[in-house]
Amino acid sequence: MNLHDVTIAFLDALESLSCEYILVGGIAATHYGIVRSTYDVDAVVELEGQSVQQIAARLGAAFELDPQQSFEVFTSKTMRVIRVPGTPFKIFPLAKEPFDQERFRRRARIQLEHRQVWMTTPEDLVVQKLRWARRKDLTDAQDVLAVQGDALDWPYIYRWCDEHGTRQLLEKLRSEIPPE
Amino acid sequence: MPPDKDLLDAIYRDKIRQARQMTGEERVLAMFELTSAALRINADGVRNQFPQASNEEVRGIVCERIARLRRMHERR
Repeated sequence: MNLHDVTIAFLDALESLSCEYILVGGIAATHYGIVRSTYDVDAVVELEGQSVQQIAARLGAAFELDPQQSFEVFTSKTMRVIRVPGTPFKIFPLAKEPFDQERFRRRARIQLEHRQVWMTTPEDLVVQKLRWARRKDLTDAQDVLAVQGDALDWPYIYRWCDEHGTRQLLEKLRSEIPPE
Repeated sequence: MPPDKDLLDAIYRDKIRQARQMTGEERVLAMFELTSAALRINADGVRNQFPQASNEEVRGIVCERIARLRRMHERR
């Protein structure tokens, strides 16, 4: 199975279990920004009622659930990982912190391959990417800022960047976008 | 010689223009195609480097390379 097929299978499993989730990471960055390759699929999932084991079971034998939680050093987040060879599906449990709650509440229903799936909004993607600030995060954030431009809810982005102390980084990325 | 900034800006502007001409869904579908193509090219490179490798071994080496790439991208 290729990335397309395993991603659709993953999304269908979440939807069929009525999981509350949002797609984040590379897929969301591409949805709102510039096309790039990605080798993993990231989702924030509200794990109430359904367990990660149920999601893995729904996906079938080709998918394997890592037996233990993993920890991402830079994001300081715990996650569960379901794998098919070469592609980890990283499941981040929805956190109680205000930003995680708000980006979940603001999530958007978008069209993908004749189905509706839940995705983070472009504003929340930018805010989160600035917070993590790895090289690839900053590239993704800048691409989204450049492609979405005035369509973004700037007061919302400013509010959270001020809260997270990333306003200066936001302004730096914006200033580096070449004028049209 | 470092790349010319005007040229880099022009390439970036072109990427932005192309992205804006597509829907979000089209961009995600293009991402799937791009990733598949990148994996095929990567596997071809491994086969070229290790002509005796079985398909399973090739897949393993490609996975290792992706994992290395991922670790590099995790850095700030």
